Amino acid sequence: MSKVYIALQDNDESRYIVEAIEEDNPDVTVIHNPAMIRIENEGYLVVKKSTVEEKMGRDWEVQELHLNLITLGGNVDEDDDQLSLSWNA
Amino acid sequence: MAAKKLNLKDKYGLLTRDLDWEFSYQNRKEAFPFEEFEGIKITDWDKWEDPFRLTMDAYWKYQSEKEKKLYAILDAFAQNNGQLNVTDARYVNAIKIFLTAISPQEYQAHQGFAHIGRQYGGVGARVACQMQSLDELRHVQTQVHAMSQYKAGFEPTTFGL
Repeated sequence: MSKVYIALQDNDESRYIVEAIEEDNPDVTVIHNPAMIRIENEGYLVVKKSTVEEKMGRDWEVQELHLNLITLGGNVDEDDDQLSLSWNA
Repeated sequence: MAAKKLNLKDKYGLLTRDLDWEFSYQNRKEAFPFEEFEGIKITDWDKWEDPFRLTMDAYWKYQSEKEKKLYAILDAFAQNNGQLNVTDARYVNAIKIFLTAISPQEYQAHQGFAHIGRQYGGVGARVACQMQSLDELRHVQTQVHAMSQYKAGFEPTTFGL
């Protein structure tokens, strides 16, 4: 199995996105680098619109992720409600 | 009542597949001469979808917002003569390496994606290449803009090399 990962700029928006990812994916590893937060997980990771909205306290579109996104690894599947990363087993 | 918003999958369909058309006066094989180059076989272009389902409208919307953030930083740097105060010689040397090792390749990637985007018969991949091509060009531009402040007080064409 390989790790999927997502790296975000370390800013006031990303902090809530990271909180949401941690809540929806309890096993993730969060690595704080200078100006960057990298989140890794074995095989699968999901970013859910509803959880991010709850953390931010405002409406949030999944495509807004691009504003803070540095890089990611894994096969992407994105729709209106979520973005998921996975490696085919 | 607020206008109904298209969902991402429908919008992606309309702004990719729906932009293609049948050629009436040109042979499709002649329009896409590289598509079967050296025995390449594409069985069904429609099976490929951009996993991000990114469309031009969303690309401009989010990239312009992102660039506003970047250019606010570049402006603050310029207004405060950051080239004299914030950075030191090591950063200028890093810039020299970056401008010669990375930026030209970004420009080549821009041209490469423009070329294969033109040659792909599948409109999903073609639109994805168009955006990738624009994105690579944007990378070169933002890099050049960020570095251009160093023309103030440094040898303009060579960075003092």
